[in-house]
Amino acid sequence: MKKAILYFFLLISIIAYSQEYTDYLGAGHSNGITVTSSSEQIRTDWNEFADDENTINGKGLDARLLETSRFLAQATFGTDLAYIKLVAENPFEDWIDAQIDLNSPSIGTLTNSIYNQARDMFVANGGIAEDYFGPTGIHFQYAWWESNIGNEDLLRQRLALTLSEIIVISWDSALNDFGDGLGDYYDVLKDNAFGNFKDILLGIALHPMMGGYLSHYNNPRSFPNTNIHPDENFAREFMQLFTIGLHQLNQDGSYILDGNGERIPTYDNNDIKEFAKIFTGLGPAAVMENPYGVVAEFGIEFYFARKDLPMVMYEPWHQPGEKRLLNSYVVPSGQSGMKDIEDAIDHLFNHSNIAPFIAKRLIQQLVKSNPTPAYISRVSAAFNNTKGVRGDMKAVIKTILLDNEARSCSWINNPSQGKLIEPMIRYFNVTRQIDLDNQNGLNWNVGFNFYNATKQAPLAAPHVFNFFPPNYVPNSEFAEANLEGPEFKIHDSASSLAFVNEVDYWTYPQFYSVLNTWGLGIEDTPLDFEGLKYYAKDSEVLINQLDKLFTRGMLSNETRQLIIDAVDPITGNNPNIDFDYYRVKMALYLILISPDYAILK
Amino acid sequence: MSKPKQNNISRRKFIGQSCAAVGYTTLFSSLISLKSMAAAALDNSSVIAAGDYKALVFVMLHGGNDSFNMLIPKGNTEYNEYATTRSNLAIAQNEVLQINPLTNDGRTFGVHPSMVDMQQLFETNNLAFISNVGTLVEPSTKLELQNKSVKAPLGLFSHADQQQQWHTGRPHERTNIGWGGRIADLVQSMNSNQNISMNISLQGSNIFQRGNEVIPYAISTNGSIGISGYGGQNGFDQLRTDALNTMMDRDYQDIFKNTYINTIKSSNDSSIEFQSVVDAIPDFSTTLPAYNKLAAQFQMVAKTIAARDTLGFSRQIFFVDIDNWDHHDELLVNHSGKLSDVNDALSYFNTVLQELNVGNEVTTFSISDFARTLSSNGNGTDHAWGGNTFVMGGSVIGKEIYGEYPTLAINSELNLFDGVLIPTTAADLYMAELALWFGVSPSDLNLILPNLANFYDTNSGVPPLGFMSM
Repeated sequence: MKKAILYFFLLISIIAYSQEYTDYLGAGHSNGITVTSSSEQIRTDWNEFADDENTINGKGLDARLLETSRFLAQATFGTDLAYIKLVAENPFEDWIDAQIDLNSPSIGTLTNSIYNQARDMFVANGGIAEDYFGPTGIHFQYAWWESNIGNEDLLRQRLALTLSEIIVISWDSALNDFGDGLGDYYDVLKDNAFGNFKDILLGIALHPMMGGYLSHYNNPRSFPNTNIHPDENFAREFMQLFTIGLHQLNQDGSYILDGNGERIPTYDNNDIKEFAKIFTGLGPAAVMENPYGVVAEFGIEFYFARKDLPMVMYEPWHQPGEKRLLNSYVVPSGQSGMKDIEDAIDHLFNHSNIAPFIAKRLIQQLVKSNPTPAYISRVSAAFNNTKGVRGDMKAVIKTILLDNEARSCSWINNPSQGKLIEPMIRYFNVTRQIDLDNQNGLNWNVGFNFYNATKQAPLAAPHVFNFFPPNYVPNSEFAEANLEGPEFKIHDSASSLAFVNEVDYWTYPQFYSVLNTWGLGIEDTPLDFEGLKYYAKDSEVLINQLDKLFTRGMLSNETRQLIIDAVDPITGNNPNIDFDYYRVKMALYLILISPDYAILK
Repeated sequence: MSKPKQNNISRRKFIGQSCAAVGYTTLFSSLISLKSMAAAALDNSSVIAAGDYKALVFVMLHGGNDSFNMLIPKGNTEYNEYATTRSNLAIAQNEVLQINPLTNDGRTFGVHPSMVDMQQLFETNNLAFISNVGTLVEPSTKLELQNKSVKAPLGLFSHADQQQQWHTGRPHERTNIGWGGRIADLVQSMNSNQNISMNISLQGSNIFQRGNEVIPYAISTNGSIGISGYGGQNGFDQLRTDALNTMMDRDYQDIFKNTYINTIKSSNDSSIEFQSVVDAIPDFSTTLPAYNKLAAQFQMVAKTIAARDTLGFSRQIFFVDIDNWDHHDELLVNHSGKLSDVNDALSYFNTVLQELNVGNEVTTFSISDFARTLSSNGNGTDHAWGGNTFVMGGSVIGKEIYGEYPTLAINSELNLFDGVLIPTTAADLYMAELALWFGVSPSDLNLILPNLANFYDTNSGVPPLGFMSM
């Protein structure tokens, strides 16, 4: 069917359609200042035009809007033009302050309620309730999307996902059977995104889903007679990935080197063994209702454990005795197991590595792949002490997003700065920045086609090392320049083309959806082109709209021209062809696969 | 179909005329002439012949295979040692599937009960094991490691470091260039196809296959689907194709943008050439095991191999990967499932290769981050070091266990702690043997594996481990 319709284009005459066109920013014509007129439109340079005096001809306002578009590309999963305009009116710090106070409903609770609704739909479609298993990872996905299409707490949600790519659990594992637990784990990250980093560490260390993922749930003390030693899994990754990393760091993120110029390990395997002793004795706080008489005790199968309550300590299974941690710090013998854990987490939380280690990870996720040492230092300092508080995430996030290196436009033209936006965030951008033709009132999405194409979805990393390692070096060009490009790990010859083709599907809304569910008998949700078709008569106006939405006002002249050259010939007199629809499709498709969009400068 | 071969032969003739001929290549960059000399060095080895083809298939068991529950002592004395050390993680003696190596020291061994087909592949000389192999910078004893008088691999027991070192062959340094990539840098010029990388990955980017020049060509189990509509004939697709060409052909000053678009461009170029050829390969008569991710990857490897003449490849290196071997928990159940998948997939792949009549031309070998602690952490095991690998193919001198199968007694001199075994065979030897078979000249081995000289004399005239029929 797709092919049949497209063959109409054999008939298209190659005559450019041009028209003087004026429009207002934002939806509709009711308000706003004239900002784009194709005859006047030039590539906006907000360095030169970022003052209010230029507002008359629109360029000044444009500059602020485009600056805001770039800021929101770092801080959210994407917004529409009306929202960009709103945020542009006040200092960005005001927006951050307002965001800190927002928190959308629990994703754990939402996962459960969506599961119940979905089961009802399944039954209404003739299914049997007992056959509808869950809540599973699918219902977590539904809840994640429901929350993230309609929510207001944009920065908090962006940070929750960011943290989930640093402190990783994944439903690409046995955890997929426990959607409520996935949601509850995500809530720990979401609820503490503006809290203290130490509370995040405590929350995830005791979370049963982390216990299931890194196997410190039901981790017993040593039994030398049977050669049983404490499980080292969580102890190792907690240090390597979640707190201090493998090597000693300066506060600017650079390695401290020994006399031979070698990196200095932060710990050795004996240290891991000591930390492994700390994380023994944790078990279920309670069990799910079950017909087998299973009650909460150490050693019961993970399946039965409640996934929404922190694990509790079973003292007889906790390793007794002192534990010798890093830098001669000793956790004394004779105290409770939970006190051991609190002390060990406090010990790592106060390690000098944690600030630069976490600072760089957060910057790489939000702003750029290769922050300067000075930038990392400033964020480290915010982590170490902001008004006497260590680990204050509010201060850390503000410093990251308001830093000169994130905000100043002088970095934009630096050819070795920026980052590749990871595929799933490009997916979120599309669904949040283009109207949706939603007939069912729900924003549930399983995202399976996209996952197949890119292997990305929230909480879906292939292992605890996330979708990509933070120090990934894509090619010799990067290696020679001593640069990292983490997201390029998943931009390979297979996945890069698969993403391009996903964009092709999304931009055929009469054939393909962007949000869909499984087996519930409700309509899928495609994109809605009607809003963009309004601008489609003039390719430059259309492209300017997309530039503000997706390319942060940084669409290059070359890419702009190639889109114009592809869009302008799509015109004609055949009343059976919706030319505007295809003009929108062409422009949107090209802009979404362009490097101008995929690389966030 | 024969055209690529012709090119190969003429190329071989050209570079086969030794240094005088190579001198002509000064027209090109010195890099190219170096490569030609390397190819000439390859020609001097015994492996080159008309229609010659060889492929290495790297099977990554991602996460750390508990390989002392893969290759298991079976005789009473050695089994009892095993059972005592492994405690609640020991496989029952009567369930261990016995194998009968041609060479033996009186001890009896077997394989995990889910490896029924691998047992048969072993018994029919198509499969061998290498025992207690691991990353080493130099030969190391427990005492030497404890008093730090030898250099140990960086980041022992860490997934990321140990995976990287198995990929690079360089446990003393951190580099993103792999030994498969270095081999390809030397060999790629032998292939008449210079558009598609000879290093093909079924699991995305990886260090093993990246050379200084060669980068892996990542495909999926469906092959390489190009850009939809690219090159299409209708009006829309014509406009789209022109726009894509303009976008892809532009030289971006920005390193991020350039890398982003170049990946898309080279992938699209390759896919156009690759997919039509691979699509033309008829389905195999061997049935693909269902729900087996490794087998699905092997299927596409086999299709690519079947298309080698049309595509113009005489040397290829493949990378396949099966995840979730990090069995800190529920080892017995989960490990059994993994080995069962490997068993089914290897059996399938072996049969398909026979079907294609390339059994002797393809060597499949396993690598994992590390083995796991012999001792239990309750119901799983932790990160260890030396472990067992398998190698499969018609050119493998099968039905043997190479290296020294270690004692598994918990108090042995090989036990660093908790049943972490110090490797007695360096990973370098394993890699060197495979590289030699592939056609790398002995004199180039030290370039690829800089620590090899600590374990092996490349002038010795004997193979590093002897498991390949050279």
